[in-house]
Amino acid sequence: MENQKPLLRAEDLSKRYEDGVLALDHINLEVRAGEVYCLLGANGAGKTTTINLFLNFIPPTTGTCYINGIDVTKDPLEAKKYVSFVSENVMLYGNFTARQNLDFFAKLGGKRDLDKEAYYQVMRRVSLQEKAFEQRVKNFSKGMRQKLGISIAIIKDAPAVLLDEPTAGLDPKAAEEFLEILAELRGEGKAILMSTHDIFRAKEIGDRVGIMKEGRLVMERSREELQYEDLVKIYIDYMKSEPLTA
Amino acid sequence: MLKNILKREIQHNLYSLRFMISLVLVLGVFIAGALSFVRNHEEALEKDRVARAEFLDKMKADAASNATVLAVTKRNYPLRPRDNGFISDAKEKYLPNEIVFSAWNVFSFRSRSGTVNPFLTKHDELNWSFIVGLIVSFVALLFTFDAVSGEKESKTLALELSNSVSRGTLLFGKYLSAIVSILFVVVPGVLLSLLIILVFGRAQFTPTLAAETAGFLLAAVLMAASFAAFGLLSSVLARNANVSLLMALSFWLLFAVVIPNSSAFIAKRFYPIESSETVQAKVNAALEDLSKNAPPGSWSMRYSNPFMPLHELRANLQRKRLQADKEIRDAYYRDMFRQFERARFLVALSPMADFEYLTEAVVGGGYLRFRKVWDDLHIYQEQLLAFFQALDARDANSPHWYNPNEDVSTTRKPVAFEEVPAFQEKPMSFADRLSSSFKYLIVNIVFIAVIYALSFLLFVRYDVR
Repeated sequence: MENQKPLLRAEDLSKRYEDGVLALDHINLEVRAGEVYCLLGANGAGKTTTINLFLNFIPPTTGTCYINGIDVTKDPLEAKKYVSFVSENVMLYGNFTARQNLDFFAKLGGKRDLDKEAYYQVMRRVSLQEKAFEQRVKNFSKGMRQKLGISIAIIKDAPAVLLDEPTAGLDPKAAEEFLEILAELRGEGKAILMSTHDIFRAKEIGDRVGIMKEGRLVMERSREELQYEDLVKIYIDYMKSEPLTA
Repeated sequence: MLKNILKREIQHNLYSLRFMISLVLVLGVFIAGALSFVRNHEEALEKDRVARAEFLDKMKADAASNATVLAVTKRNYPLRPRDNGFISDAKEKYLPNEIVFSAWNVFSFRSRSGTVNPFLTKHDELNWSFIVGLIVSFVALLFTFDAVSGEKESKTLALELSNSVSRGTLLFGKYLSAIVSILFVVVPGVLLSLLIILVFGRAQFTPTLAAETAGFLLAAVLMAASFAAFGLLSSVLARNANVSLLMALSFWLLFAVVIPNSSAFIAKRFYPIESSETVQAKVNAALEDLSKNAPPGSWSMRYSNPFMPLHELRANLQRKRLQADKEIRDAYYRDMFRQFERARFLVALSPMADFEYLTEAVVGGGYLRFRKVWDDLHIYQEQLLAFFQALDARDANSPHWYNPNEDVSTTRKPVAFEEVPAFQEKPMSFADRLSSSFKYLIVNIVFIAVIYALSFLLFVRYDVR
């Protein structure tokens, strides 16, 4: 894995907002194929900002994000061909059925020749109930919507996946199912960058875990290293420590 | 990519409650408007038949009396109710519908009375122009006000833009789909209304009507595109749909209600003209001056003796008085027309007003029609005068002292009514309608381009998170 070219790479990435807040402070990280990288941190630590910078939703103040080696600022449309995105609590289009939502986003992601059965297969894969396939999404629970959200990411079949707090608000069973799907995607060689508050699930799924505090990546550990360390203790110690800017 | 976005957005609109409500409302009003036209137009035509018959009977009686009476009598030419009034009434109920003329002058214009209840409007208002102008402009806003801010709230905007789709394509797809969705509301309404009117025999489906319908739909698309652009602008100006809705409503009030109804204020403030009282005072002063300075005997008259020498003085004075009156009033009318045209050009900055002017041109009605009849009547008046003077010249018993107001010193021979030049209002030609609509078409397109460009620039910088 070490020798592979990283599919997601942040290089000296900083973001200072117009109000002067430094949301991200010279971050460097890489995610390779078949790897799940979990970004842990409190609210405002910079996890979501990192993902937004990868998606070119906001321009960086310094540094560069690369997706499959493509600078996302210089060629965002090309870069986005290689990434899927699952956000926290996505509502999707309520007056569309699950299949219609999937169909729209699949086509937007460049998959134009899929038939109904292909959509059904993906929805079965994420354990969405069969009867929900042709139901309008406005009546879906949050767990169902998140499953559909990951279906959208799966059907695009991009080599990299960005997930922003995907398990927030999910019940334990739904969150567990969600992680199983992530593990499958990792097995397929996807590079996955996930921001989360959930230390336990980060430890469970993450091949590497980074802890962010006040815009900085203050710690990074591999799965192997975490076998001998208590991630919860490390995380709490960092959160309790003096503010970095003090 | 655009096709995919268009398809989704159109489906999204068609599945929405706002579409259903709009469709039911618009179809209902179109049907009510058509049925109302069917009922009221026949009544309006009957009144017109009576007024026109009175006009012709009086003219025939005058011709039978003598040619001078025919020439000097003031007549009120009635403007006929338009058969395409169901497309747009072009606010003709607020315009003069009678023009006062004689062979010597086109004097003035006035509004014909005759409504059963003066507190009621003279014509029905539920025409296509009214329905589209008021309701569809609002519907256009409803289809776009949350196109961006609503999707930001539901996080689908971020999901869309996480794909390799440009913001320009996405915004254009949303905009175009809103316009197409509006057509799904307007076109069935127009067709249904047309069908009712054709079935009841109130109109014939001619190439002219087809062209007018197509022209109306083009104007409607432009108007809908303008308000859809306002909705889009509201959507990218706000971070949530509620604020967007408030902004969109503000735009609607300003551009659909306030500006179109401010032409009188604009006219008075920026292009003031003399009041009618001032003009009347000027006329009175000029006439008094002429009378005072007229040679002695200029007011003498003996009906039994056309050749009485003083009749020449009388005729000269009457012609001078007519000329003075005409010069002052014609200048006043020109000022009125210029003031009206300038004010309406400023008001055309509102897409709603622009739409009204476009539909007015499409149907060949309203002010444009009035001006054409006014100008054509001036030509007719000159023809009538030339006809009368030729008759008079052939009469050895006439002293040929032209008095524009009285039957005292010109021919007293009767004239066959069939020989008298007739005035027939000609509908505006296609070329005239096109040239009248051109500037409003350009203003509308530029307006849409500016609002859309502004929306695009804001959307490029829009925080989609």
